[in-house]
Amino acid sequence: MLFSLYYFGTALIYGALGCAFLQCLLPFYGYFSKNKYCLALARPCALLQSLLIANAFLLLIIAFISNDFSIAYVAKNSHPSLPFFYRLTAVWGAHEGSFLLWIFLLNLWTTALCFCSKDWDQDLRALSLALLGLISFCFLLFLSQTSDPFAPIANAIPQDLNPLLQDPGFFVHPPMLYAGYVGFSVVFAITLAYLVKGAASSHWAHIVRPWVLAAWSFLTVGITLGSWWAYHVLGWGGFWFWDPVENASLLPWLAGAALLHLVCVVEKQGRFLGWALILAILTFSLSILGTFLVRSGVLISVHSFANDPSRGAFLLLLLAFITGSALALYIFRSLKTRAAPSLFSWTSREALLLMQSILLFTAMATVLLGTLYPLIMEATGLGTLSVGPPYFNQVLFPLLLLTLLFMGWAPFSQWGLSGWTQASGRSAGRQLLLSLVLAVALTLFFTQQWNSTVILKLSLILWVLLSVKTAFLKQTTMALAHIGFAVVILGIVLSSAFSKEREVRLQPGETVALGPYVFQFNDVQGEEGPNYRGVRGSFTVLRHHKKITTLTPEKRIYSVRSMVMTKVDIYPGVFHDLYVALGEPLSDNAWSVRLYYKPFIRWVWLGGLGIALSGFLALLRFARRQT
Amino acid sequence: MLKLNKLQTRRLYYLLALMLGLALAAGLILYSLKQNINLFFTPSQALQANLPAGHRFRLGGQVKPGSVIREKNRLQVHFILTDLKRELPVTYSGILPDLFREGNGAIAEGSWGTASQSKKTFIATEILAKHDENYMPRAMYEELRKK
Amino acid sequence: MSKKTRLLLAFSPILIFILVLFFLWRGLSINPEILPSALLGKPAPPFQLVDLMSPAYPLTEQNFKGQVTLLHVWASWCYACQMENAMLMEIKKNYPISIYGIVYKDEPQSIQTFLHELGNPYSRLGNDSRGEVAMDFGVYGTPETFVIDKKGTIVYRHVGVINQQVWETELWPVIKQLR
Repeated sequence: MLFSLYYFGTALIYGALGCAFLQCLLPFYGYFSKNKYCLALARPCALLQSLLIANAFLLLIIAFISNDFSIAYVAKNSHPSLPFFYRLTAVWGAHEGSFLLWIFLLNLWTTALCFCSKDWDQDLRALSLALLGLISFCFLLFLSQTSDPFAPIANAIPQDLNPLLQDPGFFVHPPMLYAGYVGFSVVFAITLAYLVKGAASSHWAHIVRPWVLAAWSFLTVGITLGSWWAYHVLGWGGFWFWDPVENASLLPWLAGAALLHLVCVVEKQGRFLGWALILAILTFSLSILGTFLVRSGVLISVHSFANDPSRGAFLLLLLAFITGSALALYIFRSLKTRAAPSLFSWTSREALLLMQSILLFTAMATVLLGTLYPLIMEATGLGTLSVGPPYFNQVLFPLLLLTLLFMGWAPFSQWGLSGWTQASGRSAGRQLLLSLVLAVALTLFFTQQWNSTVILKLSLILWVLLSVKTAFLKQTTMALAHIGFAVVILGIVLSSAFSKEREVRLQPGETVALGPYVFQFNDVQGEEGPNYRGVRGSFTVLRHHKKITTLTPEKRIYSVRSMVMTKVDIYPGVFHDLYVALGEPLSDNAWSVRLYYKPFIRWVWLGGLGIALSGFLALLRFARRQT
Repeated sequence: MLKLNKLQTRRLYYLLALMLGLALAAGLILYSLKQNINLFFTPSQALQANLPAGHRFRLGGQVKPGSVIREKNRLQVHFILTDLKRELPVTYSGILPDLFREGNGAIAEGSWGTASQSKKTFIATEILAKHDENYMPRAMYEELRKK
Repeated sequence: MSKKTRLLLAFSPILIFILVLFFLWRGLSINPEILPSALLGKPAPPFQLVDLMSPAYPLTEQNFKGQVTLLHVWASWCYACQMENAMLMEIKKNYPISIYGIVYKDEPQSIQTFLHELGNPYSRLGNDSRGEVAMDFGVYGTPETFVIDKKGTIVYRHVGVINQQVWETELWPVIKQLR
């Protein structure tokens, strides 16, 4: 075909590649040769690149909507019978498209930087854009050379979108997650621009803080949605599996949280600048590392994506180049400057923030170690193995307790040397005692059992929730974020401690009890969907002989890929979920059925969204202060 | 001078505390790692390794076609995992993942049963199948590659 | 702090980073798709199998001589093989190469149904019901594919599904060279 989308798409991508090249080269040239015009060209280059990429992205969407199977990527991930809505999500359903999304979001962030940096120093602005151009150039090169989303194909048989991704959650989860990943590139670019200029100071922290906050908030939303997606799609009733792909998203989140805490101190006092700079570099590096882990398939994961070693090699090279040069530059700068020693109190707020960032960093390091450990053992020839979820739970448990302890302390702390007064100490002690008593009372009242780990965790969560009220008016967003975190942990603790599950063999008409609930298996009926066929079971749920709801879990076969999918049905509630999944058909009309009672599970995601919300609120305040 | 010395000794204490904390963390991490590592074997390797009953490991292989037997009235499933050299019977109680299929790759996590020494059975507590149409689990590729 | 420890401290991030990079690189080079075969560059092992297409003439290693052959080891119970059959049909239609098959541990009945439903890309089809020939070829699982040159030497081996990309970037370039 002459007017194939392939030509347009390729032209747009190569055009953007050219723009990115200029966006990177001109400002650097301008900076070193003191040429103001070259510096000023950074912005138009960036905006033009964004325009081209936006069009390329739009083009891919159009290709999916119009079922253009002359494009290999569309043919591989769509089908004429695929519902319209999922054709949109199919745009980022596989490697090529999700990389285009990655680059599209990078350009959105670049555009945002263009518009939010009006009052910056010209050098800084141009250099930041140049570094973003460099990142964009690398990734566009990667896209065009190894994974062209517009590659043409002749007479392809459409293969449909992976049924696991045919879910509304998948519509928002990847864009949000990527927005977070990519957002840290802005932080990285600004940081590096400062390092190039050799003028990193507390002003750096002031400039970079809203960007850290924005990227981190998006990442929080992305991870929360991802966890929710896993809960209702994978059919195992879990919300976090410590799978390498999940860990890959948690790593930059933890590093970003550590950075967020530290940046406050740097902005206020200029302390810990070096550590903060390293964290800023690290966070974006972990984002690339995450992309590498997910895309190269070096680690075994249940979410397996297309594995291609050549792609992996390119990404690894990119990681080495970007992070290596940034670290080298950092060392070069840090050897020259030497921070003046100043008085420091270990009970002050800055100490607390430092501790918190160290804890978060340690958590990141342990997760990283657990994720890469199989790789290390294999590379050193010590055997093939896997690290189980208990590792993560065990190692993170003490870190979490410490984090909660410090979090509860935060509202009582003060900046500077007068950090700790006797009055605040006494009131903190009272709160701590109160939360302990409350935790014991609540646990005994509701469960009639002495469960010391639950009591310990619960009392620390209550300590955070109770103590934060003193800071609510003065530091609203911090308080909100901490409440959100406490709620997440509360959800995790309660749902993992008090969940009930059963796997049973059921014939129509039979009932099974789960806690106070009785599930009655009515029947199984056939059903026909747009691109699948399947069966739908019907369960009546009773409590004290009163009908609560009817749940209809399904088992589907997606005809094009002939893939079997379990579609669970959930009765959601603020305090508990009831969750039914059909297993497999057994003899005599019987089915194996999996039933879950999940208390407080929604709190995990509500809390996560709360954290993100507090981040966005803080951003709003930043924006208002600017104008 | 005296003041500086005080500062220095204080720093030393902090440093010591920090190092102690680090050592503690490292010890804990290594301990947990050691506890929670699951070795991965193919059926031939598992038979050679001769691990005691109750020692958890992962067994990866292809589900032998025609070997899956479900017990009546219970959720017990029996099947055979093979690496095309040796075959091992596996027993699992529970619901199999969607992608568990005869001829497909699967990884079973569990340990040797205690029943009898002559005919070894692997008691699986968890069955993993990748969400992919790949014909063999990746870890198995690697094990096989080494030979 | 002495100057030495300061330097070490300053360089520690990059040292750790290099270490991580090293392991990631090693992880990459452990590539499962390339299973080096002891048989590469050696003549195909001698065997004799009943040919399901023409039962009167058995399929042996002698049949590889004289033309470039794509030898495909598969089974009807193998899900991946069902997936890729369409690709093999495509190859049969569009490329000048003869495809031989070896069916691994399978029943003739289900093979016939499979080929009847999904199409038959094979010009010869050996029935390896006990899996011994596959063992001689060092096959780890189904599907697996070998490229055999005019002299009957095994030139290339591909483990796993053949799709458009594998065909265009791996197998067809090898075959083109041999022809």
